[in-house]
Amino acid sequence: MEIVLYVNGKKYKLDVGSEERLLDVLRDKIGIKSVREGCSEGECGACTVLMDKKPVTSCLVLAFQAEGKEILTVEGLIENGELDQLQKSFIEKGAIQCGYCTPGMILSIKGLLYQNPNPTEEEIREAIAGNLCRCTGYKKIVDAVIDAVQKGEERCVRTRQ
Amino acid sequence: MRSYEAVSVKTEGDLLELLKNNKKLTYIAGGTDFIIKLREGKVSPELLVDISCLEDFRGISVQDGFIKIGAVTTFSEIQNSSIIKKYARCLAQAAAKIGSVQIRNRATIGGNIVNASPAADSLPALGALSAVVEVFGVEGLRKVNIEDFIIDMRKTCLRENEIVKNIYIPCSPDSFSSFSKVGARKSVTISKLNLAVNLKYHKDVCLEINAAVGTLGKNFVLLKDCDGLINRKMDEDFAKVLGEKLSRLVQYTIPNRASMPYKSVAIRGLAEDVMEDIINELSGRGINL
Repeated sequence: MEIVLYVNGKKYKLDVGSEERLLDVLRDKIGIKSVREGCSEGECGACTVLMDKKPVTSCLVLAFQAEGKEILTVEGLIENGELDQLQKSFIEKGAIQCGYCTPGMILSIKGLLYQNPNPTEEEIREAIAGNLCRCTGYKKIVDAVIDAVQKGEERCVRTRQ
Repeated sequence: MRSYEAVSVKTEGDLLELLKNNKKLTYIAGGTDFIIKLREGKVSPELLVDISCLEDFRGISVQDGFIKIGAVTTFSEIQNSSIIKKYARCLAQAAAKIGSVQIRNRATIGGNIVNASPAADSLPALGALSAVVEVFGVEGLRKVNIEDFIIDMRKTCLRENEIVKNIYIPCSPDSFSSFSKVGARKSVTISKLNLAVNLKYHKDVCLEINAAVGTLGKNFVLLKDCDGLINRKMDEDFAKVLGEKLSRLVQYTIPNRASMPYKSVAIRGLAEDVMEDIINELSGRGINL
């Protein structure tokens, strides 16, 4: 079946199978490998993307259900070759170790910042409760978010087309 | 996996057209449970109908003394709804404890009901609130009380091609409710035990109480023996008496299960949490007991 997706601002017309997940289409048909398959059951959050600005686990969305939706992955945060503030803060604060969880983690936080540009530590922790990280112990991730918010939250919450 | 046809419906009219075709329909809304079952081969649809964008079945409103919740309303929407927080607080609390943000952005209340998991978090809340499920089918609408909706382990009273359209909850300004659960961790966890309590008070006395316990069997279990709780002052002893009654309910319901000794004690803690929360909520509204 044919669907249209808007991924990182670009329109894609795709032929998808009725059993294919959004995760499969993003990775295998569009080639976005930052969207990772971990648990395949919505527990680990490695496949998190923003769908119409809301974090969802793309392993639990069938591709045809995403028809017409706007999808954002971490690649879409880069502007003119420059990382956005949240990405920079992740690097600066040591919030990345192996990096497997990072794209999903960043997108869950983006989803939070769209709704709540100045979150408390508790709200940050709640927003990433669905993203597992086996390296950092989460502390440095929370620090990175606080740093990004302090350095210019408006850049984190800008709307993209 | 066997291949199947799939279609998305946007309006009730689209759905009615499909129903007339005499095909066996399988519905998918948020898909957070369904896609896992699909990939495990536990469901094999002929025609998969996506209702996640069926706007006629979405939204939260108050109508004629009832809260009306569309079946494809997500738990994020329920958790953040000012109507639900005001009139059906235990449901907002239960919604907030389901899965993660990502899950709650997709998972729907209709899906949670139809999935009929014994550990579902929305079901005891809906039970304590005396919710009614409105079912839509080719022959029209029918209403079923939430406690009659689940008829066996993971089985509902839905007939072929029927679908949940709305959930109705009576809204009463002097009712207060709360939900609590225990799981293996704080977030993203399946309930080992959950409890919702909804009570009506006048002055500082409890007039009516509905308590529903989940994870004890095919459906939540409602506390029927309310002697000693009605017309009782809501003091510290109230939570203890409630805990004692619920503990006996657990022992009676699952006498031979290995988890009975644990659950019959844990339920007392949940009763204390829930009553403390209700009393705090009451005093937050200027009602001191």
